[in-house]
Amino acid sequence: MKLHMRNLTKAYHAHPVLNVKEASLGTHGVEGLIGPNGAGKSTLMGLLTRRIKPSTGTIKLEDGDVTHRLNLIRSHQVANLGLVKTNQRIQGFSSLTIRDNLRLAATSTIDETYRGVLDDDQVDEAIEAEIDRYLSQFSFADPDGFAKSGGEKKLLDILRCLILKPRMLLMDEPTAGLPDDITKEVMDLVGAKVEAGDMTVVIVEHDLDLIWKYCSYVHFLSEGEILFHGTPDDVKNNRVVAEKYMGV
Amino acid sequence: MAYLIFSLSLLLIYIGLAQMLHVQFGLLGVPNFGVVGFWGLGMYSVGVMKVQLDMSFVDSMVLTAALVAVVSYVLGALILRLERQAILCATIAFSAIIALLAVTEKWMTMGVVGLGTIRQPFRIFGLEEILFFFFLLVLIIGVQVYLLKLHKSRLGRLMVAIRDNEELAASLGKNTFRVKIIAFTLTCTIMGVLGGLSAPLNQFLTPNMIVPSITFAVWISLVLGGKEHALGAMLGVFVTFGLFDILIETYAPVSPQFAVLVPNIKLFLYGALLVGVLVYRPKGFLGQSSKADEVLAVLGHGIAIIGSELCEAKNAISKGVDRALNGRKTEDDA
Ligand SMILES: Nc1ncnc2c1ncn2[C@@H]1O[C@H](COP(=O)(O)OP(=O)(O)OP(=O)(O)O)[C@@H](O)[C@H]1O
Ligand SMILES: [Mg+2]
Repeated sequence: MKLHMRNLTKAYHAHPVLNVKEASLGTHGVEGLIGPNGAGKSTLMGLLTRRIKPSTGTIKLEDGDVTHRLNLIRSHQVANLGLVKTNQRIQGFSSLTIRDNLRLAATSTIDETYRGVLDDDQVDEAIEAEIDRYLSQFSFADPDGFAKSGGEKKLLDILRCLILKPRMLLMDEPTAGLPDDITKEVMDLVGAKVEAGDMTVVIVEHDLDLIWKYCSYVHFLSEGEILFHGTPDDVKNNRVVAEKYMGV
Repeated sequence: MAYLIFSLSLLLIYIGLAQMLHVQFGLLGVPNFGVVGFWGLGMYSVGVMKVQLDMSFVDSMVLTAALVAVVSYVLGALILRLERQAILCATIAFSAIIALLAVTEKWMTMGVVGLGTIRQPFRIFGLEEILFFFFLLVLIIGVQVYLLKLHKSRLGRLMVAIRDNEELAASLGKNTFRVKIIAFTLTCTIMGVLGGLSAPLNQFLTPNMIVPSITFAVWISLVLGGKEHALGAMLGVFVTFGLFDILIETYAPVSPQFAVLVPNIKLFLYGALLVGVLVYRPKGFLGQSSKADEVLAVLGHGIAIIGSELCEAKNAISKGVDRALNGRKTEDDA
């Protein structure tokens, strides 16, 4: 899956925060999106998943032969097309247990019906098995209870997205708040899924070592504009990136 | 006896309204403050169809359900994307409009003169009221069984997720607006049907029946009982309407000269009870857990507390009123 955007802008109260002339994401497996605080990285991801309305511009999602114009659809439809985003700020459903969070994500809407309420059997073996697999790989203090620490909530946010089986995953600062060993496990799992051709990934991160390690292509965003993009080595050696971001 | 059956039937209607509000607010987080509007629309709709158009009860009920469904769908489409405060205001406004229409549209509703008589649907001499009561009872039990199942279902989980974080639910591919508007339409329609069923219960309809205090009573009941609990609506109505309006107003040995005080004291105690519950059990008597024995324990405990408080309150009040009256008497004598 690939995303193409053109003349994409966003302004809050006439104050421009994003202005992307033309860009494509999702052509290189795992891509990175880096830039200073306030550059507009999260805003861009919000626009791409239709959580935020753009001021101007078009977004197209290319899926094989089909191209969807994302400007015309709402955020839940974007997710159903396979484009999913993890959240930078911790988000959750406070009254659902960890297991129920995953069940909610894995359950298809066609099973969430008024008639279905009357069925006594509301357990889907395949879904339960998949949840068990995730929960055996990533340990929570109490999987049948609520996510307690910030780390658990952040991990749950990522697992909720993975269990949706996205075709393209946008990860907004996935490691912020996660312990190093879990970060590695998450990234290895994501890497394996990309390797298998299940999905493409775009990662927003301030942890540049992680970007250099996992990404094969990097976009540099500063003050709302994509100033440079290229391989990690190109980006590392770029003068503009060094000046504006690496603090030299 | 007839009055008791009437009161109990009304109690069931209130439970039904609170059950629907439980789905709207407790599960989905949609604060419908226009409960009396949907109920009143249904009641007047059946009244007009039966009295003015001489339709059968079944026909009028079916048409009423359709009418309320259309109205609540349109209202939902207008307001359900808005913030909660806006939904709250809009639904209050809706119920005010319905109350006003009942007064102004005299050609249909007879205005303040009143609309009647609406007869019971079960025409078996002497058993009409009791049959109607059992009909309501079966209906409410059915709804309750469905609600208990809803809480364990996938749809229930989705509703709770939307209440907790609608944007996040949408990002997981859930069409949250669709879930909300269907649930809103369904539950408001049932509120309207409960209104329709109240028409033969009241027999004679006047616009001053559509008062905000019905909305408040339903809200207080639900919040007291536990807005997120499947049994919260039922318990809440038992504690408020059941305890105060039926047990105390009907059976407590209050001498006639104080009887006028009872409604005011009732409102006062409702308020005090609500404050107490919100302070000590913010999620209502039943909270969130649905374990049956815990429910029963809390229920028994709650009723015991309220009972003893009430006895004390009643004693204190009657003593106070006695003293006041005696005081006046001595003044008169002097
Ligand atoms: N809802 C909003 N209203 C007004 N301004 C906003 C809003 N959301 C974001 N902004 C502004 O837009 C700019 C870009 O914010 P954004 O969150 O996209 O940055 P970011 O690159 O993700 O930064 P960080 O690395 O700190 O997460 C910031 O200056 C921010 O203050
Ligand atoms: Mg950000």
